[in-house]
Amino acid sequence: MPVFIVKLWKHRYYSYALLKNELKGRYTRSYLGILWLIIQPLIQVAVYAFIFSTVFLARLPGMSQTPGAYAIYLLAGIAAWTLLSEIITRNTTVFTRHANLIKKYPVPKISLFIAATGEALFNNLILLILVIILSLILNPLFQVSTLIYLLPVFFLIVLLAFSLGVLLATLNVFIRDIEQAVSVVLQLLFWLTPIVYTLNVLPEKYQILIHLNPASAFAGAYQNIFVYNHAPDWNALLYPLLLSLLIIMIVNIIYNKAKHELVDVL
Amino acid sequence: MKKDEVLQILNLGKSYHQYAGEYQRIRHWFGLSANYQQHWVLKNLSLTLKKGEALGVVGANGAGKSTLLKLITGITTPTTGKIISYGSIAAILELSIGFNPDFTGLQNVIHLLSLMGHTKEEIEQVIPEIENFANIKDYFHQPLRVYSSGMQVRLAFATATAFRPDLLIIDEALAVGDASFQAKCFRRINHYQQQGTTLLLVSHDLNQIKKTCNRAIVINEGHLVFDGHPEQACDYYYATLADVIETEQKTDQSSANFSCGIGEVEITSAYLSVNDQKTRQIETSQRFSIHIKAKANKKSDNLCLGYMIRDKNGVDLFGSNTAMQGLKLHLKKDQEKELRFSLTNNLGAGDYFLTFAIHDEKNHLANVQQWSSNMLSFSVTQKGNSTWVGDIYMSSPSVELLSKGAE
Repeated sequence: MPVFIVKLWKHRYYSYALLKNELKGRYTRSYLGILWLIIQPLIQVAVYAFIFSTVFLARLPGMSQTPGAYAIYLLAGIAAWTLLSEIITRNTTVFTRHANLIKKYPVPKISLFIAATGEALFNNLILLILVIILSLILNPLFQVSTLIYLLPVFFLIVLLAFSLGVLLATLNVFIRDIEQAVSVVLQLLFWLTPIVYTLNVLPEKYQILIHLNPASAFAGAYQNIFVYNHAPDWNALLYPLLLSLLIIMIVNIIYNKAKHELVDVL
Repeated sequence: MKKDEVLQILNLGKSYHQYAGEYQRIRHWFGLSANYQQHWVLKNLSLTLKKGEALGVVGANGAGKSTLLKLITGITTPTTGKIISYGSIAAILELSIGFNPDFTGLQNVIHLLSLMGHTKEEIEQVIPEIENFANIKDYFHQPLRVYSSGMQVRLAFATATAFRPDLLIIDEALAVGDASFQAKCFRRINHYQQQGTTLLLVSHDLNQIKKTCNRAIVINEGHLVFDGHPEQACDYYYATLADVIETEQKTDQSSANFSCGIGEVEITSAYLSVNDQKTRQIETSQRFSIHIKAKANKKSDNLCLGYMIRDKNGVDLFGSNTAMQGLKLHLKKDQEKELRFSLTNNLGAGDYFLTFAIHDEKNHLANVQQWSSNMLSFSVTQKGNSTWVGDIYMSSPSVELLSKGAE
């Protein structure tokens, strides 16, 4: 771990340059540019909100007097989910995406992960600002001061997603199925997270599946903050934290073994 | 370590593991028994480079040169041994500087320089100098994807050498640049060398190595087999190549190096010599010999054996045979005879190929026993400061001033 911190500091300028380039590279030759970041989640929320509240007549229990509550519930869950899933997805393909660079130059690998994560964070921050603004408009319960609870949750999501991303990226160099599997598994996990539905609509026997999914605790924490103006359920967040620590330990072993063969296989 | 060293390589080895499957690889990481084969690309290589030295690296394709460079620059990690470097390393390993083809040359340059660990202020300072040196005009502000390979090399060299490195590594890349740019590059390299930069140059152009380097190593099948004077290194390299050619000749079916014929009489071996020493390097105006051994599987009379010297483009330059020179050649069954053709080399610097043929004395299309195209290769070097240029040596060029009236 200390080596990791030293490298992080040593290559901070390169990490920053790489991040800037990734963001720039994503939107060069596109007219709407950064607007796409807002359009995509907005459309997604609009579609879900329409289908679930109009077609399936879904209502949030205990919030029937606030018409926008379901939309906020959705948005909060999606904000937590996209942060987690985007960091994982962007990081999983780090080595394969930058194969040309890695084979040609002694690139500090940590910078590649920092840039990929930074890109996801940047995208998510824009979404988060959108959620905050809409909560202030649509939800009379919501208060800005509750956002203080968001920081530790945010940190936990990044910790889990980042460590998992590094692990998957390393394995993906040798087993390219990983990057395909990740998108399938994330799709499944999305529906195993109470984002478009609430936990209590599920039959009792399936609820254990939801609790095994670490993303549920994150979505729940976001929904507590934005919909109910509550502090998160800290006990529920203990599980993702322990999971992250376990993954970090595994990454530490695997990466140190794999780094000698990594560039040769790319 | 001593003060004047830039690079120290100790017992360096690199091997690739070929696993029966990815599960076996993961087992191996955790120290469990695993099913894999180990291929050594480099073995037991030790080398120390001093400040201001210019080291040439020669070796056949696949000898391990590029692997060595990748290890020195830190792109890959060694399997055994250690590399200790003191100071900054700049490397031009491949043609393209390519980071993102959609970005302009300038953006790619900034990216590359920050990768080399320079700060924003330092980068801003050298950008005009890079633009000026690369001299690609408006292209500097256009996306990399519209660049020609020559422009990419210009930009890559200008960027890699924007700051004087302690060790400069160049792998072939400069061969793509045009002559005037190459000259400009070597001027800059010379300038840096005088300030203490060490140069590591990999090239198949042996004349370039002899001209630029003051020391050279030969790598053969992953081993450092020679370390010393560039001239001797090149000789040594040709000697190792000779073995490769002898084995390759039997398997190579390509048109550049093909063999055909009835085969009742065969050429069993051929080599070149200067002063009775086997060689593949001949100097201009040096006397040399072509030795050919031929063996008959069947009694053959009135044979003719000849050679043809061709250049890289396959153009016939000079040839002769036993019939032309009035030598009668007869072979009994299972008899082997050796012939020696001697001649003076009037070719200029370059690579040349020898083709051999045995056929009927009167008509070289009748009874072709063996025709071996480009069976042997050799290179010609010009020694010292030459008084001439070109492919063919016209003996004893001289010049004198005739009209004295103008004074």
